[in-house]
Amino acid sequence: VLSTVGLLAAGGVLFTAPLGAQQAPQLPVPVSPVPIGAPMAHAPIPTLSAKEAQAASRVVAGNAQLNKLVQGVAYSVSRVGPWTREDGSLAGAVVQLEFTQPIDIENAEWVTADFAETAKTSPSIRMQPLTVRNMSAMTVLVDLGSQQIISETPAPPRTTRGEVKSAAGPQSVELPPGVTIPLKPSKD
Amino acid sequence: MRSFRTSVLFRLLGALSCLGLVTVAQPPPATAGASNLTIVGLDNDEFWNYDFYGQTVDAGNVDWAVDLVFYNNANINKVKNALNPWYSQTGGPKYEYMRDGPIGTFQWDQDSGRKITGCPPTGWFEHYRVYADPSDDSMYNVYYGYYVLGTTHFDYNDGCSGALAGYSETAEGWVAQHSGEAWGTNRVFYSCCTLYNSEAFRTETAGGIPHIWENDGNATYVSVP
Repeated sequence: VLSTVGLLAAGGVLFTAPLGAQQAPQLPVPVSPVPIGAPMAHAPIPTLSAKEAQAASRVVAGNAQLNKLVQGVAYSVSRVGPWTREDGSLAGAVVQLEFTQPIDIENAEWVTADFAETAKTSPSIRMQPLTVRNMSAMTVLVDLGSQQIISETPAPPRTTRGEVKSAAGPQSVELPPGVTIPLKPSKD
Repeated sequence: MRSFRTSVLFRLLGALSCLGLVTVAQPPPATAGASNLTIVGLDNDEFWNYDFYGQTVDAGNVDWAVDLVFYNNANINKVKNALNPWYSQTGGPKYEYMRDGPIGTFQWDQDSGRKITGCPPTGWFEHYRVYADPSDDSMYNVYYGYYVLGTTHFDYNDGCSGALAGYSETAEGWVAQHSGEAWGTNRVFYSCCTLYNSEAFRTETAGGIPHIWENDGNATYVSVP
């Protein structure tokens, strides 16, 4: 059998990988630059205590609106970090949820925050209808003072770095038919 | 080979221009803050490891961490043209401050970058910016050849209410993937090389938009043919 395979390969009949991939040269890994001097000082960035991080996770877990939104699909809290106001003070936490399977959410209300550009003004909160498909992660902002969720968004989809993506297909976020969203000048 | 680049007169003009820009501009209020802003350098080139909201170097005036280096034979237009099938829209200007070579002085470069789209439609869309010596839209050293620096992030509902921005590390992965589709996956080195600008997962409200930080401190390098 091996000699037959060898003959086929020698005759150009048997390929296990595209020719282009076989011919691609192996490039050397680039070198990193070196730091010059110490990092520039910045006002201390607030951190969350373990207790605050746990409190944020509890607010998420106990929120009936969020649990209804995700339709009971199991999730884990993958990351929790501080959320700071315009003046740098701690406002709460950003919590990332990872779902055990990609989920579709048809025409449901998401908690949405609109921030003013001043430190003293609290964000205005409203409900925004959205249809989201193939969502595998979600970003939640939790106000630790009021113990409330002030923003829910699907997290951006991850690439698998050139490998074949999940059969679930790409994530999409859409306005349901007839639903509008207020326009606001782009800042970026 | 690069005689025009080493023209002393040209460098002098660049330096004068640069000085004018540095002293005039002031940072706008409520910009984002970097945890690890520093100069990094290689073979007489130096650059700041974040881009800036305005033309002032300050750890409280940054936009995003530098997380892309297009090297070997890169310039600004070559990169943008190759990635245009995925990123055809432009955004707003940001700034990087860098010095190209032993003779060059620090200069600002401005770029609005390229992104997929603004809102509407709703959703997350990547946005990258690329910077280089503005005299010829590339940097040069013996390790990287001709190269440009880049930052990436996602925008959510940019142009609509409820906007967010961030997730640089995830956006870096997408720009890297599209770079592999443009030039070949063997030319992409994902998060290969440290630029000393890691950022823990956190959200900073800046200019009315939550700025969601995540960066592993390692840039993806792409060898442009």
